Amino acid sequence: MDTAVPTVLVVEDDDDVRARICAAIANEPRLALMADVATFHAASSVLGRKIPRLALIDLELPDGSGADLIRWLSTQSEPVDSLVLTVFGDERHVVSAIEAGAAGYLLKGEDSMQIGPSLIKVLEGEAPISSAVARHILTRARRTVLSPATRDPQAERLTPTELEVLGFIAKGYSAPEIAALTNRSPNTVPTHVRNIYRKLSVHSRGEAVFEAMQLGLIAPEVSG
Amino acid sequence: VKSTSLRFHSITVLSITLFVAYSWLVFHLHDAQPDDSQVTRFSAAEFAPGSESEWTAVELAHNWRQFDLAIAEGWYRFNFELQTLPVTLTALYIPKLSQNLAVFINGVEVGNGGSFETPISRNWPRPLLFPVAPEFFVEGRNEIVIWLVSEPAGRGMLGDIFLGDRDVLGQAYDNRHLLKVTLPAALVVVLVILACLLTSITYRNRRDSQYAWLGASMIGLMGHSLPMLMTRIPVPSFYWEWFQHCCIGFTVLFVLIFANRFVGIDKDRRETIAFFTLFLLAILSLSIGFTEHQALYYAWGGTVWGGLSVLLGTIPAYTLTKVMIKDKDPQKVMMLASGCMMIFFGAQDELFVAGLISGEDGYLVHYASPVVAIVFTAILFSRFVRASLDAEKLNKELETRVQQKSDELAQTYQRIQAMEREQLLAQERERFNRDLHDGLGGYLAGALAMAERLSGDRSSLVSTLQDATDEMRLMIDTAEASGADLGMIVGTMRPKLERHLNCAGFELHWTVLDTHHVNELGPSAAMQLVRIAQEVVCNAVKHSGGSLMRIRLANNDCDNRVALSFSDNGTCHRLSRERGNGMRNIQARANQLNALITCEPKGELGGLTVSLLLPSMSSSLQPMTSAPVQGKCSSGVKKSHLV
Repeated sequence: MDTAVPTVLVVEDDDDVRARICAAIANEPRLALMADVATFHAASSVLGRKIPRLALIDLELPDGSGADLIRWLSTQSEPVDSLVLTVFGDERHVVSAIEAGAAGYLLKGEDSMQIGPSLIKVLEGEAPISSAVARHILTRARRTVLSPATRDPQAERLTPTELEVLGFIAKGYSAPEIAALTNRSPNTVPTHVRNIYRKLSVHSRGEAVFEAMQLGLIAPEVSG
Repeated sequence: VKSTSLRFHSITVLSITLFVAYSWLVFHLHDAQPDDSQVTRFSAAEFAPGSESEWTAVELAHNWRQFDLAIAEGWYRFNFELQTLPVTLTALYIPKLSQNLAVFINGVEVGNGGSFETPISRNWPRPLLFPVAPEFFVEGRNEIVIWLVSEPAGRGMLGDIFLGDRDVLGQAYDNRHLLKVTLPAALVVVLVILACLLTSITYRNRRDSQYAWLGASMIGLMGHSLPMLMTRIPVPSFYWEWFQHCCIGFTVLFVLIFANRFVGIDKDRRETIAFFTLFLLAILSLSIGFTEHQALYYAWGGTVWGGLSVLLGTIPAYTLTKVMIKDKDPQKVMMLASGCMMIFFGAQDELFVAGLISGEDGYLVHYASPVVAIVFTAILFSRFVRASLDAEKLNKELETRVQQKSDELAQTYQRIQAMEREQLLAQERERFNRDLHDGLGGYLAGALAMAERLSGDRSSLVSTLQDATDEMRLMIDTAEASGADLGMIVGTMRPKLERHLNCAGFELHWTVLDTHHVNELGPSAAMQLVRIAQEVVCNAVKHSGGSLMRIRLANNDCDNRVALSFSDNGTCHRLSRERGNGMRNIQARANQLNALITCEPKGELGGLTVSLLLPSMSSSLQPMTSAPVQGKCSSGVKKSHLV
């Protein structure tokens, strides 16, 4: 296998969905499947040996939380893009995953033909975001402005431009439309979205390491 | 019951004993005389009521009220023999007198009691002591002459006089001065303090006026006691005497009112009668001062005022006696006993004023006042303290009850909130079920049918299942739409609409502008909005034959509403079909949003434009009706109003 090809780890307990995603990755020559597992412990074991470039993780695993895996991966020195596998792409699931350090989400029900290109886009720096998720982030940011008692330090750090981009996304505009409306380069919108994701994740790597240790994610063979 | 009765009788006997003993003590102290072995006592004299009158022998004490009220001045002469001149310091001591006097020994004045100018000095209760040097005496016959002046006439009085050792008489003078001057002054101070305390209680508790009435009676008594403290009166004699009479009269009235309030009588006609009687008497008495008949008032004023006061004083005594017998309350026994003592002293004073007794010791009523004041005040204070404690206890009970009620209310409120939440939850569940049934259920049923029919190509099945998934995503997104603005809710529906349009070969132009604030759209309203959009897009895809759909959210400039418009570039010959079930559904959903639906046959893109007009906050106060939208925005455009 060509080592230059980005590797992908799939953590999904539903065999059909996992098989469908694996098939889609196999059909994409620019990606290589590193492993596909169905449980938290199996994923921990794989990650103890090797770190993938991309990780597709279901949040609700039978023996643990996918968010903990994402949180642990965000502490790694090697660049890892974690994506949440979700059926609905709803704000509750996606935002909680983003706050754990996910770079975006992948819909389980998406056309299998679209899965490969979507993953490539993530590797190229884009970040998937729905209008519902953007709406949720905007609501948090507005709440911060209106009431000091509910300050959200993460939302507070969003720049006016990022908030503007979020507003357009929440209204259903696509990235090219936003770029056209705001007279910006089409490439800048995904960058803004990625920055938003980054700001919403845990505050520091040290904090993430501590949380991972508290959760027992960092085993000697993993952290060593 | 026996214990209570025994206690009642014990306190009754004790109170009467104590007050009799106190009365005896007062009289005993007034009877104290210097040691006769070292002094010479003169109990008789020769009296001449004027410089031209004949000398007549009189017994001391000599009270002019008993003989002639017209006497304004008189001379007393005492003769005695001295074998040898005294070698020690000598003094002349006059313990009992009224008005003012001057003393002459062998024709030389040795002293006087103050000014003889009108109004003259008054030495009524005050003893006088005149040191006499040995040079004033001669061996053999000596003569003492006392010139007594009364203003008004008839008020003069002279008791026994004493001549002898200055130290012995000085001690007697000091004792008498303490009894007749210093002690009354202290009593006045006590009365003032008690009156202030009682008034302060009433100020704190306005509804309970008994304290103020007792305080007022003490002030009146204090006014009546002022002659004990003053030798020079500040006003002419008539007004001073009138003031004294008013003080005692109104003091008794205040005691009467106090006693009524004390036993719980709030209204008593006798109070009104007594007040107006005293008031009229005061006015009448005062008016006499402006006439030449002042002598008449001097002669009878004291008797009238005194008699009336004693008469009024029997009313509270009767009231308290009646209640005491009924309640057998030891407090009332003590009050009554002390009150009777005061009436006794007061009656003695009035007999003196009427000239029926010599009254050489002057007024005695003020000696009863402190006892009465202290007893009454102590009882009232105990009542006040008990009432305060009771009030505190009641307040605590009330607080506890209020707290209990508050807790109950809070629990009830929580229950109501829980019920409301449950109700809302039930409504939301019902809505969700309805949406699942209408939306997702339809897709799944279709998918099932397709799966049964299809053998090879499953693309339709996949598409249907994709629609079902999209539908569910939409439902979840709208369920979380609470608090979102209209633009965001519209934004949520784009993926599904766009997928539908793209599948049908339509191109989507999407415009969502900032709009007026509309009423908050909850999940249910958001879902209605989505359904309307789905229905309109579905109709366009099915019937328009166009290739372009523009969805635009913006303010409707002409009527302050917010318009969500759907324009296509297809044919417009489908209005009749639009009036079918689909449009009826749209209309029903629009009604629930309080919105208006308009159709423009030749819209912006040449095809049909369907607009959903939502009321903004400023316009929502006026409920939307089905009346056609007229005005600038409709000029030149044919509109079909379906609502």
